[in-house]
Amino acid sequence: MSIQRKIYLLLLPILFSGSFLLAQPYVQSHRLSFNTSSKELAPAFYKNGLVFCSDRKKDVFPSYVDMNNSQFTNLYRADQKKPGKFDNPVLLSKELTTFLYEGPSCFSNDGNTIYFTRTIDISAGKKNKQREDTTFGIFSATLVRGKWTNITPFRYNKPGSHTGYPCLSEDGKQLFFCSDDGDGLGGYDIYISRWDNGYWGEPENLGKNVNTDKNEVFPFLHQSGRLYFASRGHHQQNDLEIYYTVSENGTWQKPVALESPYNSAGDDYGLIINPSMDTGYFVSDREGTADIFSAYSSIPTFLNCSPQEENEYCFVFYEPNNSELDTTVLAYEWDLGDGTKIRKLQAEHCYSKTGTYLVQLNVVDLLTNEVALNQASDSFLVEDVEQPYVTTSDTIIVGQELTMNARKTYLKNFEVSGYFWDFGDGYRSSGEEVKHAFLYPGTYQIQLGVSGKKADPGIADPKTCSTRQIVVIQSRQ
Amino acid sequence: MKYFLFLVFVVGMTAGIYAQPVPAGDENIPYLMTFGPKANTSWGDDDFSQTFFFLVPKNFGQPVYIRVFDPEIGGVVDELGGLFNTKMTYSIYGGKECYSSKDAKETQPSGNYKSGNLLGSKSFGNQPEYDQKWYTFGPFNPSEGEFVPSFDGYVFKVICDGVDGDDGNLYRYFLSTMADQNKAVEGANAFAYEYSFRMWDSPTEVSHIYPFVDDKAISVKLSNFDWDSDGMIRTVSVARQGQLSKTSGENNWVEDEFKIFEEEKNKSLDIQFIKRKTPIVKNNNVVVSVRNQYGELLPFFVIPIGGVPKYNYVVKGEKIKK
Repeated sequence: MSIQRKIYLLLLPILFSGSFLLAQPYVQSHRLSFNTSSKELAPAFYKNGLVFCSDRKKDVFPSYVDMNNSQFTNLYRADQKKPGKFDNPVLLSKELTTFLYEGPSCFSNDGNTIYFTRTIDISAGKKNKQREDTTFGIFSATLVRGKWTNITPFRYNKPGSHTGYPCLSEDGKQLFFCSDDGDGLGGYDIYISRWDNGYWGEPENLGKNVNTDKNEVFPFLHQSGRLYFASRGHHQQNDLEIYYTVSENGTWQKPVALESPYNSAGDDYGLIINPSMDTGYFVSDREGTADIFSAYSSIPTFLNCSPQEENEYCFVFYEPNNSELDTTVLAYEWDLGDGTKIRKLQAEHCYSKTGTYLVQLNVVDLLTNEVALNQASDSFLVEDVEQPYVTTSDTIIVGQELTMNARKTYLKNFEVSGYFWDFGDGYRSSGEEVKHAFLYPGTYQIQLGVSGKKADPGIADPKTCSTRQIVVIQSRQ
Repeated sequence: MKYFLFLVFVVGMTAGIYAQPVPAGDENIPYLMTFGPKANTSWGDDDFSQTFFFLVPKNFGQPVYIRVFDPEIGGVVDELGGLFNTKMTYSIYGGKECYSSKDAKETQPSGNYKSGNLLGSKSFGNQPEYDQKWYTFGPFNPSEGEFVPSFDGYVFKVICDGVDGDDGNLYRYFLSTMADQNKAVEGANAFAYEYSFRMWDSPTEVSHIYPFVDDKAISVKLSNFDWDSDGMIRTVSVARQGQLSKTSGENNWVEDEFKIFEEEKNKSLDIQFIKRKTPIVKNNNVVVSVRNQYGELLPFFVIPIGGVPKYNYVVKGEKIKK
């Protein structure tokens, strides 16, 4: 995070305290209770809890260390009995635990396959407690009758290099991982391998928009298509920060840095987010050692929002039944119900307001000059587009308070229980009318989500959303 | 066929219209037309004979009369060809085969077209006492007609034959319950397989004939004779907004074949004869027939089966972006 941005964040409450009372950061973070003075990192969703790695002491025996005298991490599991309440962590599995390194992991959707990071060579004797060779790779294992078996190395592990940080897509057909094998852009780069005909295909580097000459690690692909990762190379400081990117037409786009509380002045990485995007976990050393933090949003998340459509009341009217054999020349006169009459085969007309209009068709037979009045008629309901509707300015100056309201929202059979705003800059708010000031110039997608009262106790709250783009420009001063 | 019968009678009765004037009101045809056999066919009649059938419902219990308006050939209405020297015979047939004989339902007066029992006949020449007057045949007991199960009624056949001369006979019929008045027979209808008629002189008038399309028809062939290029012939139906057909010129036949839409089956077509505005054509006579793809003639009911067909206009509206 740039110094300028961090200063902005610090000054934020002072500069715009009035307006930001209505637009507070929506994510609350907490250090999880099972953290210790040792390192806890690389959370992964597993069953109803988390799997993570930690170098906490697992038994009374002397531990192995690397050349920096750092202890190796092992995989632990912490079940969650109710939201935010985790059991004491236990080793994930004896079968997967060695006296060397077990690191970041991920699981298949059914929880029966694990991809995890581990020291490649675990065959060295146990006499030497300090290991020189700590190269690691990715391994997979399957859960059979409660035991992890079939431990198999990833075919693209390379001796002498480090391959790890696996992340499996929801459908199990894409594996993101990191490697420093020297063929990339420098440090660790993120790669993708695709499952094809029973094999993982040749890895592809995600490219220069994502990878830098420094480390990019801890990829996590969310169901929304966002790929979260941590990098040291997209900003001037050398700390790890969390970013996300999306793929458009096969190209991963320029990453976007997450705001506080995800990123801090220290190392922040390893973000995972649940499908509904209201709970996430990440690692930060902001309190000294690497610990796992939860991030929780009290505002519902709205996915797959459609761009807001402007309300236009324009129609084309025509007579659809005439056949290809018809050769008679007829003139149509359309009475459009609002005082407008148009003499054309097809009548295009924009009504000035919503309402129900009776459209009538008069036909003039040009052969006989006979006028047949009201040959057909129909009532047309002209209404607003069914959508949450954001009323605001298209352009605003940096720091200037912008008022937005949802009063023109039009949703049929929908009893609104709340309006929720995402300003696209990491801030959210709620209410039918909100105010917000943007700190940086740019183009922002304002998202308005509307939740409704449920019709039956057994079903989820109905909700819908739409987006509107606004442009924030620098002050001319 | 049951559906057809249902339409023939129920439509006629519920509409409160009776097929007694021939031509009927919706047809807007001034006169039927038959020329003497010495006339040139270029004057409009291809065969100097016209056959019409009258259909009386089975349960109609009163005598019926077949009346002819302006039966003679002379005076105000008829078309003079030099001197009025034409003789015309009207013959009424009933009984077995008067309708069911194959020759009776053909366009040409040949073979056994005079089938059935001759119930009445009278010839007319230039007789001023019948000029624009009615002559009445009958009374006939409905059962004297041929019972046709498919119509569920009795059919009488009326043939107007040109016997001598070259003048044009213009006339009308009326099926009546009274000898001296035109009083309609409830539920009756009349039809022909070839229609020979006189056009209006006024260019603003539009005449109509209504062939009934049964459910066998896939396509039909519309034939018209001696239209003299007097404007346009247009077909309208519930599914046809207006389709122009090829038209005949002087003394020739022209055929136009076109497909039948599903929506048109078991309904009538409306064949419209739209006169051109300029130059005005007067005293135009035309002969029309329609056959299906099997070559079978379609009947022209003077009261169209299923009612006068109107194109079903629909208003459709779609939202657009400006």
